Amino acid sequence: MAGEGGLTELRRGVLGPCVLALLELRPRFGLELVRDLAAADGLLTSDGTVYPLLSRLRDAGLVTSEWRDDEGERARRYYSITEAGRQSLTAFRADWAWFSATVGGVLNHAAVPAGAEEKGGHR
Amino acid sequence: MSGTVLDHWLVRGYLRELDTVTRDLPAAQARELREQITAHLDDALGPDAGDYEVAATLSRLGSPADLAAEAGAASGSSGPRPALGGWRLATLIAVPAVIAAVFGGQQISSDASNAVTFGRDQHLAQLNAAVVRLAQNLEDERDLSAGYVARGKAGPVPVTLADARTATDAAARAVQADAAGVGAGYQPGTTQDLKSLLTSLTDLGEIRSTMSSRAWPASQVIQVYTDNIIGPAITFSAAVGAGTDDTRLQGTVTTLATLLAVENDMSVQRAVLYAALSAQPPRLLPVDLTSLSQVAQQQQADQAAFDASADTAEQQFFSNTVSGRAVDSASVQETLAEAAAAAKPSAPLTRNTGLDAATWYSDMSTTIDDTREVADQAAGQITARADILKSNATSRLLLTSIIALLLLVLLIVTALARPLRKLVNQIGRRSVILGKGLEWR
Repeated sequence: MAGEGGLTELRRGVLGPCVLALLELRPRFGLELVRDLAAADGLLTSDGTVYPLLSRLRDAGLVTSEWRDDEGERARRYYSITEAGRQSLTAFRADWAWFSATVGGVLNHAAVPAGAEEKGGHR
Repeated sequence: MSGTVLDHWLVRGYLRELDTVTRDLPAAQARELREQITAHLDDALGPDAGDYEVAATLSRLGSPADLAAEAGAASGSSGPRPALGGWRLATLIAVPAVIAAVFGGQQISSDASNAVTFGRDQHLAQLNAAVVRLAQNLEDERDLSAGYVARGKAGPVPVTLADARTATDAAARAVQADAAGVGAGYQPGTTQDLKSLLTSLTDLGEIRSTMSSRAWPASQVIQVYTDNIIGPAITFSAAVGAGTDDTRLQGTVTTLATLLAVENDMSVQRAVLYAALSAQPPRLLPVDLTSLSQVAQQQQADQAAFDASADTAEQQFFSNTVSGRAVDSASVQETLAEAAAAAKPSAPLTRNTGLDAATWYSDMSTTIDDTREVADQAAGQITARADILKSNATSRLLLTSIIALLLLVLLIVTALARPLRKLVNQIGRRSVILGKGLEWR
């Protein structure tokens, strides 16, 4: 029932950290990001959604953008990760590891991993 | 800008749609999204990209509506402003427009109907003035005819009577001319009264010729004129205010009707006594004495009706106007004649009384003319009042129409404001992009 709708919400939630992760390696321009994300199968429902997300990340101070006019190339807006972005990404990685493990455990009827409640209470 | 995929027709359509669906986003946000999308397309597609390739890229981008929704959800502070759906916009415009149209329409319709009604009143007031003149001319013609018949129709029709007939004919033509157009929309009673009057006017020629050819006594001439023509004229005038809502106008119409009755009563007395004094020998027969007394009594009653209807100023004007030596003299002559006829009906009326036809006619005519002066003033007040009412109603209709028009223009401008703002935004956006383009190169 949740089907595609549930997956869309999930994608929306993880796409931001994925973009940050890509930018952590090096600055990229829009199409580059889109292609890299699209290469990860099933992560993008449509290419365009990346752009509002980039704006949102920039507004949140997690990425910055600047125009680059490289020799022999067209001018492009390049997005780079900020220090705040790196911190946010680090935090998400930790959360995601715990979260995916928890969700995976519940979904597969495994025992709830020890310490999950503690961690949940901590958050 | 030659050789870019942005000129591709599919891309142009896509961007146009994007502009439309992002019109409710903050301008900066919409501008940025467009810039990102155009850069994406520029990077993704070469200038010679084919339709299939372009369509596939656009399809992967997602629909402009989805992009706008995503951007709207992303816009934090200003919050997602839901695009004003077609139906909501239509409701926003339609509801006030319908309300304005209904109320404005009702007002205009009511004002227009008022203007038409007051237009009819104005027409009737003019017609009434003509009818009043006709009644007065008929009275003169009747009274002179009574004298002519009483003299045994000796000699040709006197100049005074011929002149009176000419004056009556002119007044009748004026009434007939003014009567044109009175019909549908007018009070049925008024239309009927007018029809009776116009029909009676066609009898005038026959009355005149019958009077000459047959041995009609003066009393019969008086009765025929009074009942057949003057009566319908006074009836029409008395009911001419039936269709109006204006109490002032109605009040003056009633006052005028009482004056016309008084005037006719005086005139009948003039006719009866003028005929008696013109007869050879001059004699007021008992039957004529009776009718003279009856008409005098009727005049008292009509005068009382006038006093009841007229305001103090009108009463004052009447008593000031209908006065003087001739008026007093006529009154004395009538009393003398009545006394003499009552005392000795067979004796010539002129003997020992000092009465003569010409003096009586002249003095009583002064009394009647004075009364007519008062009546004419009332008739003038009626036309003036009707003119004012019509002019006010027309102004009101004009004003209402102008206000309604202004409201309509305001509605249209309001409805256009959003598309206009969008257009301005688009122009602004284009110039920004152009500016950027210059910087890059």
